[in-house]
Amino acid sequence: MQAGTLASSLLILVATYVGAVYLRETRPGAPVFPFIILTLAGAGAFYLNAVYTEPLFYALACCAFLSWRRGRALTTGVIGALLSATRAVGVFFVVAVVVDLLCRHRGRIFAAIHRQPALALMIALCPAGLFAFMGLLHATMGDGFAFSHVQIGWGRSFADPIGRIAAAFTDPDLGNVLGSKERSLTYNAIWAVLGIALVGWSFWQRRVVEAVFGALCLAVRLAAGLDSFSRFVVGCPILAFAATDLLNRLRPAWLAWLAIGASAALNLWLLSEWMNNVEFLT
Amino acid sequence: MSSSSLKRAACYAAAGAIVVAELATLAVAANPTVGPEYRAYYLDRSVDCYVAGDPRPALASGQVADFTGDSPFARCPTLYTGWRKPEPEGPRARGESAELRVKLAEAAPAASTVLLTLEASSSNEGQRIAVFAGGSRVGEFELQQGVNERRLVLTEAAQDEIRLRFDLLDPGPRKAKKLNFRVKTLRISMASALSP
Repeated sequence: MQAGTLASSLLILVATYVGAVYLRETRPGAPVFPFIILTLAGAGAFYLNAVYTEPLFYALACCAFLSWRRGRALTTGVIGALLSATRAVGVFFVVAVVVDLLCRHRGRIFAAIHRQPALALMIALCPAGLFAFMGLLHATMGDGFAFSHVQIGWGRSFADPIGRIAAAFTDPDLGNVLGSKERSLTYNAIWAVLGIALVGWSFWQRRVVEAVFGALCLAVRLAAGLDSFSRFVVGCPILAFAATDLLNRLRPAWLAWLAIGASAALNLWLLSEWMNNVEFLT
Repeated sequence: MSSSSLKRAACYAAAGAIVVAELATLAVAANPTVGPEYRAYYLDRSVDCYVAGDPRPALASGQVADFTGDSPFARCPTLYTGWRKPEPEGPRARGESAELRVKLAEAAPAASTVLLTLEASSSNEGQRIAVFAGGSRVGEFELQQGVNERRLVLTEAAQDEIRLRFDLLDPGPRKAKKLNFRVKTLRISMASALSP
């Protein structure tokens, strides 16, 4: 457990550095401190230091985006494979880069691949992690889709994502957060709305590769259920990138500091509740 | 052949090999090779729980299966499908159908009697329910608020388990479209024991 926590903390430090470098390269001149503070101390940041797959996914996603930004197709493919092996939604990274290629080359993706054949290898490599995991599951358990089928054990099944959010607000149970500390769908639905808004902001900013990846990850995870959604939103670096863009645009600037301070204060409270093993933060 | 052509050919060949391996994995994964319990719970979703083997307690003739408290009967897979999580007052049915699969200590011949105690809330008042045992309809009754005792007679023999399925026929005056009763106890009297 201690080794896992240490590994998570190291991974999130790497992710913070790589993410900051990526932001500096994609948003020249824009401050990166909101990203650094949100990743290390923002609301829910404690999840990224715990023994979950989130810190690894976060670090790999930051590396994949930086590598793609720098045009290193083969490295991007290898990191993309690790990303899809870490969490199934990582497979959407390849969709995002293909959409990015289509936008950049005005639909002539095959011409782009002909000029840079390593792109073909990258596109094939990115989902290979998930397929390797499926092969391992089939060999050991007899069910290659066990990672999806096992969701039923947590009461999750695929349903309309918007309907889920609407239902959580129609029949609110936010009182659980302050009262009984039991699971709260409304609490997670608030995080889902925040995630959707940030993805929308990414699209508005024309951050195509980030927005497509974020949108697909959110949509599929939302369809599977709202449970633990706060952890999912916190563990998706694309949303931290979008939040950084948004905070940098806030005027007057002290509003951004206020938001970051509030987020950090909320993190302290959430952390103290999480240490008490409350259900709504599982 | 130039080095760039070689590099291009190598990239395409490697990409092609990876895609073929991925498609092969997909084809293999599309045909899971799992046990019946795994298939029923995770793939077909025809049961509410996954329990390897058969840990159910067996019910003997005349013995009362108590579903309240921390009873070993109030667990999966005896509570086979259509039940909420067990509660101390007894498991509560949900949806329009619920099924119990009670393991028997001995085979129950046809004409054996099952005595059921159910508890209904005010929302269940007037609901009509059909009961099936092993596929045959063995009874139909209307729920009243409070404790309901119902006697059913098996029309066919049950070997190692008795499968009782409760189907909602009529939601009643309160239009309750879901079964919501609790099962409290079940007792089976073998036909031979009743015979003179």
